[in-house]
Amino acid sequence: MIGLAQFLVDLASHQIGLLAVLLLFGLPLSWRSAAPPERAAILTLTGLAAMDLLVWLYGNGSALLHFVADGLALSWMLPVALRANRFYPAVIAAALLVAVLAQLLGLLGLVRATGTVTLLVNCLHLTAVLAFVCGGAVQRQMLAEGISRPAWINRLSQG
Amino acid sequence: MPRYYSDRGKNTNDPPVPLKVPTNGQKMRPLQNGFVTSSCLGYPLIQMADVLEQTALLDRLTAKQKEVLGYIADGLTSKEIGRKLGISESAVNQRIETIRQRLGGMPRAQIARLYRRQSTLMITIPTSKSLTGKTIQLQAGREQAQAWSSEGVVDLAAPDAGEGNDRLQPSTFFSIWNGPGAIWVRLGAIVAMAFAMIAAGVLLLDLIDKLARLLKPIA
Repeated sequence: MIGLAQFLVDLASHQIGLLAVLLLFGLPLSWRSAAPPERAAILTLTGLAAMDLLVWLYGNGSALLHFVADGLALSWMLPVALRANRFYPAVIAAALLVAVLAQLLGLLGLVRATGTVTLLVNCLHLTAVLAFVCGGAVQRQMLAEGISRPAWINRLSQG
Repeated sequence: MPRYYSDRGKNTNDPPVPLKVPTNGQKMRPLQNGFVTSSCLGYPLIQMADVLEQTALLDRLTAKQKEVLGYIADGLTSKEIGRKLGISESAVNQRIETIRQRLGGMPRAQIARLYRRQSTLMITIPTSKSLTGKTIQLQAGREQAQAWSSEGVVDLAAPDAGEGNDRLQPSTFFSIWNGPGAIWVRLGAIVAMAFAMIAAGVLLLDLIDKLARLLKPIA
């Protein structure tokens, strides 16, 4: 019990860890009512949050592992952004692209202030989450209004 | 006797020019219901009067039921529809059953065809026999088509979609965003947004730096 309490205190003191936990529990809740692009975005953000948490717990916050996690998320999200009939996946992909570039510069030693890179990357992750929340809300609103739009652009010719 | 007008003369003060339908030597049969029938041209055409009669049935449906119907017309399975609407497959099947009952027990495939016909009234003229050498497609609202029906006129210069066509009419932005070559447009947009975020990040860091310098003497 004391261990759990200590864990929660540690988690709360680590803001990104807390955000990761919120994402891990919050995003899967919207899975059921989501269209394929939304599900892809949920998988990306939840996976990113999980990897961030794992790196924080077991990887001593390794910059290299963070870079790998963001790179994997970008490689998953970029094809979705190019194909999905929505705008917000493009915003998420752009945020991840900049996050990967910033971390790459940090790893190469071109940016000396590591705190600057961390702040920038955290802001970009937050931007991605906000883009998903806004985009998902727009999609739900459209569905509620009875506006049907194909999930992927290659279905437009059929729609 | 119904007349068929071409779009020539529509935008001028000239009287409408009757449309001459080439028959390739076939004997022209009397026109039915004021519309060109398949026997006139020797290839299939939709008999619009029947379609209009059938699509009037769709007025009995609610907006939600029409949404389900739209997905059926798109060829989605009950499971996929359920996923889109956030409801179970059995709930979707129940809704479809209600729709079927309201439409007099029509089979699912027929309902889908009916819905598609309501959205698009299409006349396809093969190139070898066509008047213009290309396919002509009319997208029209049902009410407008009914007006044409009463006048016995088929307007080949069909204007924009009416109320009956509830397909999404994309704006210019969306037509570029989703049109041909959309992948390159999107890639460009992603790169542009990335540059914008870098610029915003630099501005943010600069702002933080300035704030830190301002607060340092106070601390």
